[in-house]
Amino acid sequence: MEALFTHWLTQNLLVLAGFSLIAWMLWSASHHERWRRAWLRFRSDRGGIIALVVVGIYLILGALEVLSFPTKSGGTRTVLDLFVGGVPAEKSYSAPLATRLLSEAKPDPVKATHLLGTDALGKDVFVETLKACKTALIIGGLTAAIYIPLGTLFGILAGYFRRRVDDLIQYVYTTLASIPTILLLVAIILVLGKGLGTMSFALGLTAWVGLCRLIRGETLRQAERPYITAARALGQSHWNIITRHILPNVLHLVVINFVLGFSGIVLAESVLSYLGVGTPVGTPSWGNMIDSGRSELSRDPMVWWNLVSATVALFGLVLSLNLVGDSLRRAFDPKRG
Amino acid sequence: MLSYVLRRLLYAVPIVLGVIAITFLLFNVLQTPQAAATLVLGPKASQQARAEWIKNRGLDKPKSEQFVKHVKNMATFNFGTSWKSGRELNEVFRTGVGPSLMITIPGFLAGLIGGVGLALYQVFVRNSLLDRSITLWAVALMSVPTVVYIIFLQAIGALMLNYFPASGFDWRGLETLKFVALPIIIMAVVNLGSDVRLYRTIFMEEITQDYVRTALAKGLSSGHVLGVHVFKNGLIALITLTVGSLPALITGSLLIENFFGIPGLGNVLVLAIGTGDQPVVMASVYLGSLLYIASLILTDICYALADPRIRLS
Amino acid sequence: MQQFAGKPLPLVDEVNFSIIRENIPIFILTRQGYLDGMGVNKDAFGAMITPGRELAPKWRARGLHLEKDVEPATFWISYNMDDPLVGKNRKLRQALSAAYDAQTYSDIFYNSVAPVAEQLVPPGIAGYSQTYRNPYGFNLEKAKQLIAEAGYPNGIDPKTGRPLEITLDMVAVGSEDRQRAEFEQRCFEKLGVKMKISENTFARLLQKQDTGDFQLSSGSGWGADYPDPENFFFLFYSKNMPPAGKNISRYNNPEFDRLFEQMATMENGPERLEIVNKINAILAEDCPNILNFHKAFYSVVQPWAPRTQDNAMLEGGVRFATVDPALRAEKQKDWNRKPLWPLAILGGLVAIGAVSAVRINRRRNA
Repeated sequence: MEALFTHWLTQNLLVLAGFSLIAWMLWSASHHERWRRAWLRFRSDRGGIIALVVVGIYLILGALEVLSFPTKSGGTRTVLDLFVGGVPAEKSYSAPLATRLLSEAKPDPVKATHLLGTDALGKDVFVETLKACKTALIIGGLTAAIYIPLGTLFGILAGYFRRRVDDLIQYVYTTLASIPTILLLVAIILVLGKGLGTMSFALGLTAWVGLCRLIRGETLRQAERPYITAARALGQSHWNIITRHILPNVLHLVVINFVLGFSGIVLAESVLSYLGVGTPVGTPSWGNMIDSGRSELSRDPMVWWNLVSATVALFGLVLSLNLVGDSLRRAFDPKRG
Repeated sequence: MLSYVLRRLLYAVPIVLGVIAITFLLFNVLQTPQAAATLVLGPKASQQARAEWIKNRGLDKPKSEQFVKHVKNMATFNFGTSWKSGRELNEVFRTGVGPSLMITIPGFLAGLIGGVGLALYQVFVRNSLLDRSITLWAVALMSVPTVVYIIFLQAIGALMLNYFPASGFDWRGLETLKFVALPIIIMAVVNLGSDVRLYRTIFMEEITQDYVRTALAKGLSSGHVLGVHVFKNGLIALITLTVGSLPALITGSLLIENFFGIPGLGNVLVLAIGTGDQPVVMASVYLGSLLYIASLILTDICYALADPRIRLS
Repeated sequence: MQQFAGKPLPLVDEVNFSIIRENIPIFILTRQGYLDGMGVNKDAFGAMITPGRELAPKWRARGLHLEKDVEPATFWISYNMDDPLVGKNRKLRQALSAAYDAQTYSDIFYNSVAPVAEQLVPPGIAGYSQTYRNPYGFNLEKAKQLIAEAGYPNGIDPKTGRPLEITLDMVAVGSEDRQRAEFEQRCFEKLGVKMKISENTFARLLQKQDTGDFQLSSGSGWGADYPDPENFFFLFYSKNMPPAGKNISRYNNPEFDRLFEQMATMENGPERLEIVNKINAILAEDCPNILNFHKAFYSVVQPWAPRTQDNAMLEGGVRFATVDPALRAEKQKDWNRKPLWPLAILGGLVAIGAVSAVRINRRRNA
């Protein structure tokens, strides 16, 4: 099963599917009045547009790392490798654009110029940072794929049906929320083993609570509206009302929550790496780079390029997501700017 | 009012039970009794010693029986002893609370004062370039991972500037301050970004109220209006939003304590997870959930006090 | 030690054991003078030890002393001889061993100070030979040839057509552990195999070693309990199987056992040496482990807490620790001078903020 999933053909298809999904969502959104109006307002916010472009760049970088094709010698190479992968690894540390290794004992000349230096095992830091985009995006995407359906579904159910259903759902998420997040994350990962999949699963399980509360609140408000009562009186089924009236009206909250929450998920990865339950060994990830950067800062000469590179990359993504989220919020509800 | 509080407390009971059940499940899946015995007794222990250890702790009894006993223990706050160190858990918690609070309370207050101060300042200079740049800067602040804050501030504060010792903790009267100063600063800074934005929203909402216009029309200076009236009214919303985070202060920040070697409660939990010290984890999670529920109830009470309509629902 | 003759033990009033979980603060605290001594870890090495294996001038000027401890110990990666894949395929074991670059490992993690282990017995123990070379030490060409002979040319498993999958178990808590794991992974993957790293807590790793639930296990090692080669060879004695014994590799070779029993109680001499050499040859060919390095441990002590005894195997040496508190206080003050310019900058920012606010307010009210 795992072999099928990691096969290069499947991965390429998944990337294609992902982008098509985004395109379809944009296309169907353009048919709704509310979204069209929001888009007009969003368009005039220059800061938001720039941030959106930046997010797009990250997305493309991540996709380039997933798209791969088979090579003659039997392995696979990613498209990103084509552009930057030719850089050979050194023995160990070297400073950005340096000509010699950092080691005082064996300052051998480097085999190639490294834009941002090399890390402990001699890997080029710039290339690592680019490759780690994929890890961050995958974790964010998988987690979202888990927590968004869960949160939206239960939020709507709780807000719409109220009474017993609401009580039960509230009980479940209050109980879950009382368990310290770290414990839950660490426990799940230790049981299910390390890996991008289990990390996303654990993060998704802890993230759905926030979205559920949000959607529940909005659904409660929507369900009070007269048109819903009218629809019920006309005999529309619950399913119809939920999918055709409630859902479209809470979707904007989902999008905003996703954009703002994505950054939290990516940040969580760095915390998990610090605690030792991060991505598996050998996976390029900003969290791991930051974690190694910790001890490297106290070296003399100080090895800062690992930490700084990962931080800047992470910061760029998170900041852009936050700005886009803010613009979206203003676009949908200008009064709350 | 009293019946409202009692009702909320009653709701808490099944939640706490649920929490205990989930952690019990998680932990008994995490670790077989054999592994726990090996961990505590060391790799050189004999099979027999391990079997005895398991029997002494009743870990070989059926799970349901263990669970019932566990619930009873939790209810009576009988936490037992740590597997790893053998210390009484009540003592462990008591000694751990001090260091945690030494950091979280000043950190919380510093963050509050800083956040409110900046937010009021923003409202004072509202809609100017200064206001917008502070907002942008606050968003930027939010976008940096906590771990990076800790690393950088430690590198700068301790390593380069020598203002503080890099880590560690000791009760030395006034000297204790130098160990907690850096963690307090970090705690305040980490949440500053999101706090400033939140408080700004609250105070800006107050500015749009009619009473502000009236006060200004009466001739009061905008400084006075801001600092006294807006501040006091905004405070209600502010307290309601932040009082929920008070109980959590007791547990301390996991990351900061771990990084700076502060022997507080947060550290206790992280270490216990890493070493598989079951009693400590169970007790910590139990206490943590109690605190969380307390924070929920506190928030609800504040809402009810601030808005009498809610009580009647 | 002479200067302390006649004084009652212990020499200090209070001993403070701080458990510092991170490596970085240890270095920083030592620099600031709040620790009386530390072991030089991988990150501090470059800063403190010159290529000539001496203390760098900057630290010598501060009065620190460098202590070079050679603890007779060896570290290796264990194979599980009961495992159907690696246990039964000697060429595969030899191939992986020849692919492992222990010198670079020492370069990266020990600043080239820890010597590569060519044999099981470390320097300082009888039976150690400085000239002996591991026939399956690092040699990539030989490794590629060996793995082809093992039935997996280029690391590809002919049955599946995909790279051979091997699992390496280790403790990986913390970034340095992960770096070591990644290094080992990259070494083996040069052969074309797919090396899966299985990360465990220390407890789980011990459990796996006890039950035999692993293929390769990293971080195995042994420090001498007493200065005799028997202390090392008994780790591969077939009567020493886990969970009762320490033969993690589950190595079982009657010829080895016979020679072991013979030399165990012999006196050191040319006869014993001959048997030891034979044992070394058997172990090298059978390859129940991949040798890594011998321990070379450097530590630095502050000028006010000099070393008073040198015995690496002494337990309870804390009795002999001594400290000069006056000197320590003086040096701490000296090394922790606090520059004030950042505070000045902070003050400047506050002033600018206040002035801008006043100006905006005035403009608004005008």
